Amino acid sequence: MRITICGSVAFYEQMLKIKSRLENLENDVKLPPMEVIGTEGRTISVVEFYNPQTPEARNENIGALKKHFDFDNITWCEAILVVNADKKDVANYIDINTLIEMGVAFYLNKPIYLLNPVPEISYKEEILAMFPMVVNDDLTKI
Amino acid sequence: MKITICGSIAFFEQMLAVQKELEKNGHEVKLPPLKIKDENGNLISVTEYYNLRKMETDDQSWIWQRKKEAIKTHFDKIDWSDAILVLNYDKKGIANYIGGNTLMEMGVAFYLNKPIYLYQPLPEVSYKEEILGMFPIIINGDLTKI
Repeated sequence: MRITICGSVAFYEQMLKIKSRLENLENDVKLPPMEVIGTEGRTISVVEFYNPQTPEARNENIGALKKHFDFDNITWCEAILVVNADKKDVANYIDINTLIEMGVAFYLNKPIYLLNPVPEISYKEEILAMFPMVVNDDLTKI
Repeated sequence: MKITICGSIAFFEQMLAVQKELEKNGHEVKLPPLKIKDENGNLISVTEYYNLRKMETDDQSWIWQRKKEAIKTHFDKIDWSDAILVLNYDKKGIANYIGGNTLMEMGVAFYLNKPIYLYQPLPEVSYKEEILGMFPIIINGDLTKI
Protein backbone atom coordinates (compact mmCIF):
# COMPACT_ATOMS: atom_id res chain seq x y z
CA MET A 1 0.00 0.00 0.00
CA ARG A 2 1.15 3.58 -0.55
CA ILE A 3 1.37 5.21 2.87
CA THR A 4 2.26 8.79 3.81
CA ILE A 5 3.50 9.34 7.33
CA CYS A 6 2.33 12.56 9.01
CA GLY A 7 3.14 14.06 12.38
CA SER A 8 5.11 16.67 14.24
CA VAL A 9 8.67 17.14 13.01
CA ALA A 10 9.72 16.50 16.62
CA PHE A 11 8.99 12.81 15.92
CA TYR A 12 11.20 12.61 12.83
CA GLU A 13 13.58 9.97 14.24
CA GLN A 14 10.62 7.77 15.12
CA MET A 15 9.10 8.34 11.66
CA LEU A 16 12.28 7.02 10.02
CA LYS A 17 12.01 3.81 12.07
CA ILE A 18 8.30 3.44 11.26
CA LYS A 19 9.08 3.96 7.58
CA SER A 20 11.59 1.13 7.68
CA ARG A 21 9.13 -1.19 9.47
CA LEU A 22 6.39 -0.39 6.96
CA GLU A 23 8.74 -1.03 4.04
CA ASN A 24 9.60 -4.41 5.53
CA LEU A 25 5.86 -5.11 5.28
CA GLU A 26 6.07 -4.24 1.56
CA ASN A 27 4.49 -0.79 1.69
CA ASP A 28 5.64 2.24 -0.30
CA VAL A 29 6.21 5.04 2.21
CA LYS A 30 6.70 8.81 2.08
CA LEU A 31 7.75 11.08 4.93
CA PRO A 32 7.40 14.82 5.48
CA PRO A 33 10.26 16.70 3.79
CA MET A 34 13.49 17.20 5.75
CA GLU A 35 13.92 20.54 4.01
CA VAL A 36 11.64 23.28 2.75
CA ILE A 37 12.28 26.05 0.24
CA GLY A 38 12.02 29.59 1.60
CA THR A 39 10.57 32.61 -0.20
CA GLU A 40 14.07 33.62 -1.40
CA GLY A 41 14.63 30.16 -2.84
CA ARG A 42 16.95 29.23 0.02
CA THR A 43 16.73 25.69 1.37
CA ILE A 44 15.88 25.58 5.09
CA SER A 45 16.17 22.44 7.22
CA VAL A 46 12.98 21.59 9.09
CA VAL A 47 14.86 22.04 12.36
CA GLU A 48 15.78 25.62 11.44
CA PHE A 49 12.31 26.09 10.05
CA TYR A 50 10.76 25.44 13.47
CA ASN A 51 13.43 27.32 15.41
CA PRO A 52 14.03 30.57 13.50
CA GLN A 53 16.89 32.61 14.95
CA THR A 54 15.90 36.02 13.53
CA PRO A 55 12.71 37.90 12.57
CA GLU A 56 13.85 37.69 8.91
CA ALA A 57 14.13 33.93 9.18
CA ARG A 58 10.70 33.81 10.76
CA ASN A 59 9.22 35.76 7.85
CA GLU A 60 10.91 33.45 5.41
CA ASN A 61 9.47 30.47 7.26
CA ILE A 62 5.98 31.86 6.95
CA GLY A 63 6.46 32.06 3.18
CA ALA A 64 7.82 28.53 3.17
CA LEU A 65 4.82 27.22 5.08
CA LYS A 66 2.85 27.39 1.89
CA LYS A 67 5.00 24.61 0.53
CA HIS A 68 5.33 22.88 3.86
CA PHE A 69 1.85 21.34 4.06
CA ASP A 70 2.43 17.82 2.86
CA PHE A 71 -0.49 17.82 0.43
CA ASP A 72 1.36 16.27 -2.53
CA ASN A 73 2.25 13.20 -0.48
CA ILE A 74 -1.32 12.97 0.79
CA THR A 75 -2.66 13.08 -2.77
CA TRP A 76 -0.18 10.33 -3.76
CA CYS A 77 -0.94 7.86 -0.96
CA GLU A 78 -3.72 5.35 -0.33
CA ALA A 79 -3.71 6.00 3.42
CA ILE A 80 -1.95 8.18 5.96
CA LEU A 81 -0.35 7.06 9.20
CA VAL A 82 -0.11 9.73 11.89
CA VAL A 83 2.83 9.28 14.23
CA ASN A 84 1.54 10.64 17.52
CA ALA A 85 4.01 10.30 20.36
CA ASP A 86 4.27 12.21 23.65
CA LYS A 87 5.14 15.92 23.40
CA LYS A 88 4.56 19.07 25.44
CA ASP A 89 3.25 16.95 28.35
CA VAL A 90 0.49 15.60 26.09
CA ALA A 91 0.35 11.85 25.51
CA ASN A 92 -0.02 10.88 21.83
CA TYR A 93 0.27 14.48 20.68
CA ILE A 94 -1.02 15.59 17.28
CA ASP A 95 0.01 19.08 16.24
CA ILE A 96 -2.25 21.48 14.37
CA ASN A 97 -0.30 21.12 11.14
CA THR A 98 -1.00 17.40 11.22
CA LEU A 99 -4.67 18.08 11.96
CA ILE A 100 -4.84 20.10 8.74
CA GLU A 101 -3.19 17.25 6.81
CA MET A 102 -5.63 14.77 8.36
CA GLY A 103 -8.46 17.04 7.21
CA VAL A 104 -7.24 16.93 3.61
CA ALA A 105 -6.83 13.13 3.79
CA PHE A 106 -10.39 12.93 5.13
CA TYR A 107 -11.62 15.20 2.33
CA LEU A 108 -9.95 12.82 -0.16
CA ASN A 109 -11.58 9.80 1.51
CA LYS A 110 -8.23 8.27 2.45
CA PRO A 111 -8.13 6.06 5.55
CA ILE A 112 -6.39 7.68 8.52
CA TYR A 113 -4.35 5.48 10.86
CA LEU A 114 -3.07 6.65 14.24
CA LEU A 115 0.01 4.99 15.68
CA ASN A 116 -1.24 5.56 19.24
CA PRO A 117 -4.64 6.42 20.83
CA VAL A 118 -6.42 9.75 20.36
CA PRO A 119 -4.83 12.51 22.50
CA GLU A 120 -6.67 14.58 25.11
CA ILE A 121 -6.36 17.86 23.27
CA SER A 122 -8.58 20.85 22.43
CA TYR A 123 -9.33 19.49 18.95
CA LYS A 124 -10.03 15.91 20.06
CA GLU A 125 -13.60 16.27 18.73
CA GLU A 126 -12.35 16.88 15.21
CA ILE A 127 -10.00 13.89 15.42
CA LEU A 128 -12.77 11.57 16.67
CA ALA A 129 -15.09 12.72 13.87
CA MET A 130 -12.58 11.60 11.23
CA PHE A 131 -12.79 8.06 12.68
CA PRO A 132 -9.08 7.31 12.63
CA MET A 133 -8.05 3.68 13.10
CA VAL A 134 -5.76 3.31 16.09
CA VAL A 135 -3.14 0.62 15.45
CA ASN A 136 -1.39 0.79 18.86
CA ASP A 137 2.02 0.40 17.24
CA ASP A 138 0.97 -2.79 15.40
CA LEU A 139 1.79 -1.90 11.78
CA THR A 140 0.38 -5.19 10.47
CA LYS A 141 -3.07 -3.66 11.15
CA ILE A 142 -2.60 -1.31 8.19
CA MET B 1 -19.33 34.77 -6.49
CA LYS B 2 -20.12 31.49 -4.71
CA ILE B 3 -19.09 31.82 -1.07
CA THR B 4 -19.12 29.26 1.74
CA ILE B 5 -19.10 30.66 5.25
CA CYS B 6 -16.95 28.84 7.82
CA GLY B 7 -16.57 29.29 11.55
CA SER B 8 -17.66 27.99 14.92
CA ILE B 9 -21.30 26.98 15.28
CA ALA B 10 -21.31 29.34 18.25
CA PHE B 11 -21.40 32.13 15.62
CA PHE B 12 -24.47 30.81 13.82
CA GLU B 13 -26.63 33.89 14.38
CA GLN B 14 -23.88 36.11 12.95
CA MET B 15 -23.50 33.73 9.99
CA LEU B 16 -27.15 34.25 9.07
CA ALA B 17 -26.73 38.03 9.16
CA VAL B 18 -23.56 37.91 7.04
CA GLN B 19 -25.26 35.54 4.59
CA LYS B 20 -28.08 38.07 4.11
CA GLU B 21 -25.59 40.89 3.53
CA LEU B 22 -23.54 38.89 1.03
CA GLU B 23 -26.67 37.90 -0.87
CA LYS B 24 -27.65 41.56 -1.02
CA ASN B 25 -24.26 42.14 -2.69
CA GLY B 26 -25.14 39.56 -5.34
CA HIS B 27 -23.28 36.51 -3.99
CA GLU B 28 -24.51 32.96 -3.63
CA VAL B 29 -23.86 31.75 -0.09
CA LYS B 30 -23.76 28.40 1.72
CA LEU B 31 -23.66 27.88 5.48
CA PRO B 32 -23.20 24.96 7.86
CA PRO B 33 -26.50 23.03 8.37
CA LEU B 34 -29.32 24.46 10.49
CA LYS B 35 -30.42 21.01 11.69
CA ILE B 36 -28.64 17.80 12.60
CA LYS B 37 -30.15 14.32 13.17
CA ASP B 38 -30.09 13.14 16.76
CA GLU B 39 -29.44 9.60 17.99
CA ASN B 40 -32.90 8.47 16.80
CA GLY B 41 -32.79 10.23 13.45
CA ASN B 42 -34.98 13.17 14.57
CA LEU B 43 -33.87 16.61 13.45
CA ILE B 44 -32.61 18.91 16.20
CA SER B 45 -31.25 22.44 15.92
CA VAL B 46 -27.54 22.74 15.36
CA THR B 47 -27.25 24.68 18.62
CA GLU B 48 -28.87 21.83 20.56
CA TYR B 49 -26.52 19.36 18.86
CA TYR B 50 -23.55 21.59 19.70
CA ASN B 51 -24.55 21.63 23.39
CA LEU B 52 -24.93 17.82 23.43
CA ARG B 53 -21.53 17.44 21.79
CA LYS B 54 -19.83 19.64 24.34
CA MET B 55 -21.18 17.42 27.14
CA GLU B 56 -20.28 14.12 25.42
CA THR B 57 -17.64 12.02 27.16
CA ASP B 58 -18.02 8.74 25.25
CA ASP B 59 -15.55 8.43 22.36
CA GLN B 60 -17.89 5.87 20.71
CA SER B 61 -21.02 8.04 20.80
CA TRP B 62 -23.37 8.64 17.85
CA ILE B 63 -22.34 12.30 18.24
CA TRP B 64 -19.09 11.72 16.31
CA GLN B 65 -20.85 10.09 13.37
CA ARG B 66 -22.97 13.25 13.01
CA LYS B 67 -19.92 15.44 13.27
CA LYS B 68 -18.25 13.33 10.59
CA GLU B 69 -21.25 13.87 8.32
CA ALA B 70 -21.26 17.60 9.09
CA ILE B 71 -17.55 17.92 8.25
CA LYS B 72 -17.99 16.01 4.98
CA THR B 73 -21.00 18.08 3.97
CA HIS B 74 -19.18 21.32 4.66
CA PHE B 75 -16.13 20.16 2.71
CA ASP B 76 -18.49 19.58 -0.23
CA LYS B 77 -19.71 23.18 0.13
CA ILE B 78 -16.10 24.40 0.08
CA ASP B 79 -15.58 22.38 -3.08
CA TRP B 80 -18.66 24.12 -4.57
CA SER B 81 -17.53 27.63 -3.65
CA ASP B 82 -15.24 30.12 -5.37
CA ALA B 83 -13.97 31.33 -1.98
CA ILE B 84 -14.56 30.82 1.72
CA LEU B 85 -15.26 33.47 4.33
CA VAL B 86 -14.18 32.65 7.87
CA LEU B 87 -16.17 34.38 10.59
CA ASN B 88 -13.69 34.73 13.41
CA TYR B 89 -15.40 36.53 16.25
CA ASP B 90 -14.15 36.48 19.84
CA LYS B 91 -14.57 33.19 21.70
CA LYS B 92 -13.07 31.45 24.73
CA GLY B 93 -11.46 34.76 25.72
CA ILE B 94 -9.53 34.88 22.42
CA ALA B 95 -10.04 37.79 20.02
CA ASN B 96 -10.80 36.73 16.43
CA TYR B 97 -10.94 33.05 17.36
CA ILE B 98 -10.37 30.28 14.83
CA GLY B 99 -10.76 26.72 16.14
CA GLY B 100 -9.58 23.32 14.97
CA ASN B 101 -12.61 22.56 12.80
CA THR B 102 -12.41 25.87 10.96
CA LEU B 103 -8.68 25.44 10.51
CA MET B 104 -9.34 22.09 8.79
CA GLU B 105 -11.85 23.80 6.51
CA MET B 106 -9.29 26.48 5.68
CA GLY B 107 -6.82 23.67 4.95
CA VAL B 108 -9.19 22.09 2.43
CA ALA B 109 -9.89 25.47 0.80
CA PHE B 110 -6.13 26.04 0.60
CA TYR B 111 -5.61 22.56 -0.86
CA LEU B 112 -8.23 23.41 -3.51
CA ASN B 113 -6.57 26.79 -4.22
CA LYS B 114 -9.65 28.77 -3.14
CA PRO B 115 -9.17 32.27 -1.69
CA ILE B 116 -9.68 32.43 2.08
CA TYR B 117 -11.23 35.61 3.50
CA LEU B 118 -11.06 36.37 7.22
CA TYR B 119 -13.79 38.61 8.61
CA GLN B 120 -11.52 39.97 11.35
CA PRO B 121 -7.74 40.07 11.89
CA LEU B 122 -5.65 37.03 12.75
CA PRO B 123 -6.00 35.60 16.25
CA GLU B 124 -3.00 35.33 18.57
CA VAL B 125 -3.00 31.55 18.87
CA SER B 126 -0.25 28.94 18.93
CA TYR B 127 -1.04 27.99 15.33
CA LYS B 128 -0.96 31.54 13.93
CA GLU B 129 1.86 30.52 11.58
CA GLU B 130 -0.30 27.86 9.94
CA ILE B 131 -2.99 30.48 9.35
CA LEU B 132 -0.44 32.94 7.92
CA GLY B 133 0.87 30.17 5.68
CA MET B 134 -2.52 29.99 4.00
CA PHE B 135 -2.33 33.72 3.14
CA PRO B 136 -5.87 34.69 4.16
CA ILE B 137 -7.27 38.03 3.00
CA ILE B 138 -8.45 40.09 5.98
CA ILE B 139 -11.52 42.20 5.26
CA ASN B 140 -11.98 43.81 8.72
CA GLY B 141 -15.76 43.39 8.59
CA ASP B 142 -16.10 45.06 5.16
CA LEU B 143 -18.01 42.56 3.01
CA THR B 144 -17.66 44.75 -0.09
CA LYS B 145 -13.97 43.70 -0.15
CA ILE B 146 -15.05 40.25 -1.37
